[in-house]
Formats: sequence, structure tokens, C-alpha cells
Amino acid sequence: MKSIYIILISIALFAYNNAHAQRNLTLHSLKNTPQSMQVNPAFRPKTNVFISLPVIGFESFSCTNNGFALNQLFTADATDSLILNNKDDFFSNMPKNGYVNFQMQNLLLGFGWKWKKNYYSFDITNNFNYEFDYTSDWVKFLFQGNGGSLLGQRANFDGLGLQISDYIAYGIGYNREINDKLVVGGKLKILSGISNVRTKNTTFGLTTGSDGLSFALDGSANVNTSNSAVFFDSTKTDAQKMTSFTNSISKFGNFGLAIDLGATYQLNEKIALNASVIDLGFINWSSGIKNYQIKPFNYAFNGIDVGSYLKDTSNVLTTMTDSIKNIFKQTEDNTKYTSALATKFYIGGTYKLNKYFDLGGLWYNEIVRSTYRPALVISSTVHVKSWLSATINYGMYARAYNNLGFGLSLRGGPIQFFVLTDNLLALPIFNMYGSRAASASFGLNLLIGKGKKPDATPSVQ
Amino acid sequence: MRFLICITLLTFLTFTSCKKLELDKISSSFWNPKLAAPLVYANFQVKDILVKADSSGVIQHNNGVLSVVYNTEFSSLNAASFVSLPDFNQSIDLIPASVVAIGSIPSPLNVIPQNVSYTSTDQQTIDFPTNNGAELNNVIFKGGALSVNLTTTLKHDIEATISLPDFNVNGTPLTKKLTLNYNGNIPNSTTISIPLNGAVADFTANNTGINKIRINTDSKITGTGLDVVGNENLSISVNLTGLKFKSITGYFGNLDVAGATDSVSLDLFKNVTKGVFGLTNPTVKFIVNNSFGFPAELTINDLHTKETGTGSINSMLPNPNKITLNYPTLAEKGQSKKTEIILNKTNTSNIDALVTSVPKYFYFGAGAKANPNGKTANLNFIEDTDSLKVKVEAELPMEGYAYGFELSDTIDANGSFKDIDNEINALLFRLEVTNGFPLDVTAQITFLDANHIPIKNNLGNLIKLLKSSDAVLSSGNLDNTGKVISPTVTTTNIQLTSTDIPYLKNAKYIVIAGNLETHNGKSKSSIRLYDDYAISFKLGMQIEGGVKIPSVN
Repeated sequence: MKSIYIILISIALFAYNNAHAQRNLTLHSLKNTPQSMQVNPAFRPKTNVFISLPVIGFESFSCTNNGFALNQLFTADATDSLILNNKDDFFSNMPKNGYVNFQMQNLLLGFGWKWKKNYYSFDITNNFNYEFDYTSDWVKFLFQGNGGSLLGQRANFDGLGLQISDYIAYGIGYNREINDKLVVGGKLKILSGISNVRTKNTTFGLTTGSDGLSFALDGSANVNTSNSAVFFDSTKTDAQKMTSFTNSISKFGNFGLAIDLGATYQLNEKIALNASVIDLGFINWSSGIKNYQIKPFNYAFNGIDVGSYLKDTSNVLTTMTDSIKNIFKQTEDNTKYTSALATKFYIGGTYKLNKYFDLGGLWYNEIVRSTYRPALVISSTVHVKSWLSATINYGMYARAYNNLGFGLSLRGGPIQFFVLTDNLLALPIFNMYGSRAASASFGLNLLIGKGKKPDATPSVQ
Repeated sequence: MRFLICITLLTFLTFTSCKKLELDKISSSFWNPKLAAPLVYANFQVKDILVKADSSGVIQHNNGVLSVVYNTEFSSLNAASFVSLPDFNQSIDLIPASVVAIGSIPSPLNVIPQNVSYTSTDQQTIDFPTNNGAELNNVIFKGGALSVNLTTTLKHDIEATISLPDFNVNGTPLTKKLTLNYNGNIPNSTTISIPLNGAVADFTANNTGINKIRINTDSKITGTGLDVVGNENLSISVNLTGLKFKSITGYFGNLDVAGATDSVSLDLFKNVTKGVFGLTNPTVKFIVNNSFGFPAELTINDLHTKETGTGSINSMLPNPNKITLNYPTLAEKGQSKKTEIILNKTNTSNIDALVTSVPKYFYFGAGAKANPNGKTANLNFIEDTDSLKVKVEAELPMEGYAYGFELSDTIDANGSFKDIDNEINALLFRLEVTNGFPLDVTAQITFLDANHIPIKNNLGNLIKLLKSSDAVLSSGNLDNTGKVISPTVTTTNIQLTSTDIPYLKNAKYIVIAGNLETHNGKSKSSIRLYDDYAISFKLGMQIEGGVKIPSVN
């Protein structure tokens, strides 16, 4: 059994170690936390000053596999033992192009203060994004090999790719109460890229003959790297490698800019609306660059030519190796490149049921490399005096309809602690294996000063 | 509010009651991928196959029909070994009677006064001995020496001149003078040696005989004033030693000049355990190249094939079995003359069964004799480099029929199956053959353990990949002349099941046995192998893995 756990954890880690784009859907409902400005810069804490403590101020993790949940991996065989799911509907229900991603956000420092109708803030965050893009045929190939239902077909690996990036964002935020109903806000983020790997325009395929007596490989790809492949470059000294790395951090060797924009509008006493655009920006990767281009190739293999081998035993394998090398030609360069951030759009609204309860709705949109990834959330939030807020929500995203979010904020004196997840069911005590998305965030803030009166935007004093 | 709480709880329960993953039910071999991969392919022309199957044979083709030719060669004895020149020694007494007579005079009158001379002359014709009755007329030497020794017990001065008028050195008859001046010691002697390299000798004594050497000597005794007893001697000896010829003219008798019994391995059949063959037009050629200058005759005294396994012999009888060989005339001295003898169905009985019953070796015995009809008007001649070489070719045109042609090969598995039960659930080899040959082949593959005992499964059944009746090659389509006009494609699946796989880890050897039959071979329909016949095959493998979860302790 121990082995099974290890393998499952490995699969989980594999799946969840590749990700991109943190949604923070539940954070959107906990507007009493300063960190809610991460999802809409027009949200503002009710206190005059807040300080997010270093390291523990805000830690957020999320991972998603939109193709399948772990419990879909298996199916029962005739003896009721579980084996890998090779059923047709498993693969047909999978998206043609799926992804698994992981994002981590660490608030290194954050603070803000209110000045009349303005609210100023500053924060430094580390953002780590990891995403692996796969195809249903790729999963099928892993599960079945090429001798199963892929026999006689081209296993389509087009779009197979890897995106990894780590950058630090220095954010200067500002929002202003325009009138009693409208608040607008924005944040300018100066980005310092640390490391990046990305594949682009990948097309790979493996076509196996229906008789199994031949196969053909085709494909092409571009790979850009910054401060990653260079560490494996034997022509560079350790000092050169480290210089490249430290320059990226200290001298903005990989410079980027992004903005967040947001607004809230109190339609009437019961209804409030909000909208925001987050991470509209780019990073220009210039440091420690190593790019690879795999030229389009098409290689057919019918086996080793025994005829040639019998005639000349010395050169057959060498000739074959040489021809393969010629086919899989790869070029390298050090050209700078630019990558866009995954931009997110939040459009939401709340309806105040009574003194304690809000009902909310949120339409989340994300554009990742020309791919649109939406989410719909309905939520209910309870406010118990000024020391407790809790929210629960139901979300539909990542092709999954069993996402139940939960968040809790507690305040004792000037200390505010909060914890939240976009999918409570992904916790091990519930239905971890049946979930496609998991997330967890927590934070600790120091809140100083009281606000004058309840704000148009729901928040906690 | 209660409604909202109820809805929330209901939703929560619904979601958490989704299908659970029961980890303890996961099979230890939960992952069974199937991999399909091509292994090898090949396109062979018929010539490629014949060359690979038989490295000793030479592939030839005649109007597109292929033949395998086996050949071997044997040579005559070395020319110097069957006509040799023995050493020769002849001693001649030169003391004149008048000098002997002085010895009978009572002392002190039996002296030869100082400066008084006595002369004598001797002419002799001596037989030169030869081996095996060879008759020498003329010899050109390339080695050897003539040594002449003059010895006396006389206490007087001696002078002798020796001539061999029939030995020419540098164009001049050989003459040498020897001198002995008395020096107070007896016997007194002197020796000279003359190399014979390049010397030309006539052994006919001026056309009066054969094997003759003429030796002329003139001697002079000049007195020193000392006595003569009467029993002194004065002799000259002539020695021919280490004689080597460059060429000889004469008659060498009825000598055996070449002879051999040899065998040729017919490697085309080396892996064949049994079978019936009919090659319709085999031939055996004897190709003789002779530079000896005398009549010779080749006698074929043995011709048969033998099957190694059964020892059965197929003898062939050429008629005639004695063949007169061509040889160069004196004017063609130094040239080689070729004689070709072809044994086929017209002159050799039973030759069409040359390879019937799967022979492995072709045996022959032959010898050549000089002057089979005795002495003729023409002289024999020989040079030291002359030879008689006999090349024997057995040519097997690939034209005929075969059936029950069994091939077998044993391959050392070399531990390949040691871990097979741990990693493989099922194994399928797929063989696709496009056959442009007029051949049908069935095959079977079995496995042996280290003691060469066939491996069986738990049901007691022999583990085999193919049944002996499984066709892996089907003959190409033939026209009415027996020539293949289009190939056929045969796909064979060779499958190992989970019942058999665990037992294969004991396999040490793989035995591949095949049975070949030419198209309608049992009906003795004749086919031909043309040089444009080709066969191609592709071998692929489909393997279902049983990836086990490693145990962690």
C-alpha cells in the first residue's frame, strides 16, 4: 500500500506541480482583508493603516488539472481491483488540450494607509507559475502505449508544452472614493523576472501503423528559457551563471510592467457591483537567455535495416544515428523575448440579504496564451460583528462542477488572520481524489485605526 | 435562511459523496501499456540470400538464372621434386706406366732426374645417374658446383689440365689447369671449384647417347731428382654437387605429376537437416592449366557426394574418366596450356542427383601422369617453375525442385527471458513477408533449457511460437513457365501468452526450425531462381507490459 501512496502522490505532485493563473475566487468575497485588493484594486480595507507581516502576510497556493480528477484515473477490472482507466469515455470526456498548473504567491511585504478619500498601498510579492499543457492523446499514450487504441492513428501531441516563470512584483496601489457610490483603483506593478521556461508552437505527433510495423514521428517546437537552461551550459562558469541570476533580481535584468484596474459601484442599498482587470502586463526576458528551435521534422521508422546490416555490419547503426541527428535538427540562440502575463477579469456583484448575510456572484475570466478560461461563482458571506467573516461559494471552472469554496477571517484586536480555499472538497478529509482544482491561502495582517462608517463596499471594521 | 443552510449542506453532501478512490483496491499491476514498435526490416535480392547462406560458394548467373559455384584447386608436385639431379663423383687415375716402371729399377737408379718430364692423356665418357629412369639431353643449371681435386704421392711436380667439353660456362667449354709442385710433403693435393649457375650441359656425348658426361685430362710429371717407389698414385676426381636445374630437355618417364583427393563443403545446405532436392542441370568442371612440356593425362578416379548425417553416398561415374591434357610445345616453352573437362548429364551418370538427399560435402579424387603413352619423337622439357594446376568447380544452377527441406538453427538466448515474467503480460511478434520467390516456408520456434530440454508450460504443453504447419512465406505467383510474376504477402502473428511467459525465464536456447518447399516441389515441378527475385520482410513487436509497483519497506 505504501507504494501505491507514493505513486499517487507522485502523480499528484506531477499534476499539481505544473500550473498557471491563480483565481482567488474566495478571496474576492473576503473584502474585509487588505489582500482582497489583489483581485480588485478598488477594494479597500476599512482601517486607516494595514501592515501585512513579512512572509506570513499572505501565502497562496493553487493547482488545477482540468482534464481529470485522480479518481477518474482508475477503473475496476474483473476482479474488482483498480487499474488505470483505459475506457473510451474517459479519454473522450477529456479536453483535447488540457492543462495542469500550479501557482504560488508569497507576499514578502505589504502595507497601506488611508488619506482622506484616497487609499495608498505598496506590496512586494513573489509569483511562481508552473503549467504543463497536454493533450488527451498524450494521456492515452501514457496509459495505453501506442499499441492500444492509438494503433493506426496519429497520436496528437500538438500543443504539448511547459511554462514556468517566477517573478517579483513591486506594486504601488491607489484607490479613491469618487463619490458615495463609486470607488476606482489601480495598481502599477514593476516586475523583475527571475526565471522562465516556455515552449511555443509545439507540434508533435506519433503515427503508428495499423499493423504495428512502422511508426513516424513529426513535430517542431520553440523553447525559450531565461536563467534556467543557462545553468546547464558547461561553457559558462559558476560565477557567470550566478551573475546572470543576481542581475535579474537586483538590476531588473528581466524587466516587466503590469497594471491592475478596478472599480466598485453601489447600485442601491442592497446591490453592489464590481469589476477588475488584473495582471495586464508583460515581462521582457533578457538575462541568461537560451532559446532552442526544433525545426519541423518527420521521421519514419520501419525498424533496423537488417539487409544493410548483413552486408555491412560496421556502419548501419552509425548511419541511422547520423540520419536521426540530421532529422532532429536543433538550433540555439540568445535572443531576448517577451512574455505576457495571464490577464484576469473579474466581474461581480453582491446582494445584501440582511445585516449578516450577502449573496454574491462572480464571473471570472482568464486569458492564457490565447486560451480563454472562465469561472462562475455564487457565494454567500456572513459577517458577525467586526471580528468574524465567513464565506462559502460554489464555483464552476476547470471543467469541474464540484468546487466548494470556503473562507474565514478572524480579527482579535489589531491582528487579523484569515484562511481560505477555492475548493474545500479538495481537502484530504473530503474528496481530494475527486477534485480537479485545489487551493489554499492564509494570511496575517496588522490593522490600525477605524473607519468612519460602513463603506459602500462590504468590508469589516 | 434555513433554506440556504439546507441547500448548502445538501450540496456539500452531494459533492463529498462522489466516487471515492479506494487505494487498497489498486492492483499491483495497474498499468499495462501496450507498445508497438517495428524491430527490423529487410529487402533481399536472391543473390544477397545466397551469398549470406553460403560464404564459400560463388554466385553466377546465366541469362538471369542463378548458380552457386563451389571450387577448389590442387597443384602438381614441385617440378624439381619429380626430376632431380643427383650428386655425381668420378675419380680418374693419371699416373703413366712409364713412371710406374721406374719404380721397378733397383735403387739408387729408380729416380726421375731433375727436369725430366713424363706426360699422359685420358679421355672418358661416363654415365650420369638419374632418378626414376629420367633421360637427360640438355640441362641449364641454375645452381650447383663442379669441383676438381688433383692428388699425388709422387715427390715430383705435377701439372694437369681437365676439360668437360659438353659443359659450357659463359659460352666456353669448361677447361681448368691444376698444378702441384713438390714441397717435401706427400700426399700432395689441390682442389678447384667452379660454380655452375648459368652453365649449359649437353648429356648426349655429341648426340651419341643420353645421360653422358665426357671428361678429358692431360697430365705432366716433371722430375725433382727424387726416387720413385712404383706404388705412388696420381689421380684426379670430378664432383658435381648441389645441382639445380633451370630447365631440362629429355624424357622423364611415366611419372605421377599431380594427384589429390579433396572435398568441398556445400555450405548452401549447412543448416539443412534433411530434404529432397532435384537440381536439374548440375555440372562438375575440371580446369587444368599445364606448363610442363610433356604429354600428360588426368584420371578422375573418384566423384561422389556424401550426406554427413546419414553417411549415404551418391557416386558419379564420368565416362571417359581419363582425359588427355594440353601441353606447350618446345616453341611454347614457358606458356601454360588449358584443358577444360565438363562433367554433366551427357557424360556422367548420376550427376543430376548431385545434391539429392541433402549432401554436405562433394568429394573428388584425380591424378595426372606424364607420358601416358611412353616415349615419343618429341623430347620432354621442363622448367623449374613449371606446374600443373587443377581447379575443380561444382556448379549448382538454381533450377529444380525441393521439398521436405528442413532448416534448423539454435540461438543462444543469453538470458534474454530472465525477467520476462515480471515485466510482460503478453508479447506479439508480427512478421509480414512479401515473397517474390517460388518458395513456401513453414516454421516453428521452440525453447530449450540449459540442458537442451524443450520447455513446457504448466499444462504440459510444449511452448512454441508457431505451429509447424504455420506458413510464414507463401510462394510468389508463377506464370506457366515457372517464373514468379508477382509476390505474395503473408502476415504471421507470433504470440506468447500469459500462460507460457512465466516459463520462458528458464529458456537458454531458441530453436528455429523451418520447412521449405519449392512451388509444387512434391510434384517435382521445376522452378528457377532468377537474379531479379526479391523478398522483403518487416518484423514488429507488440508488447503488453505489466508494470509492477515496486515494494517499499
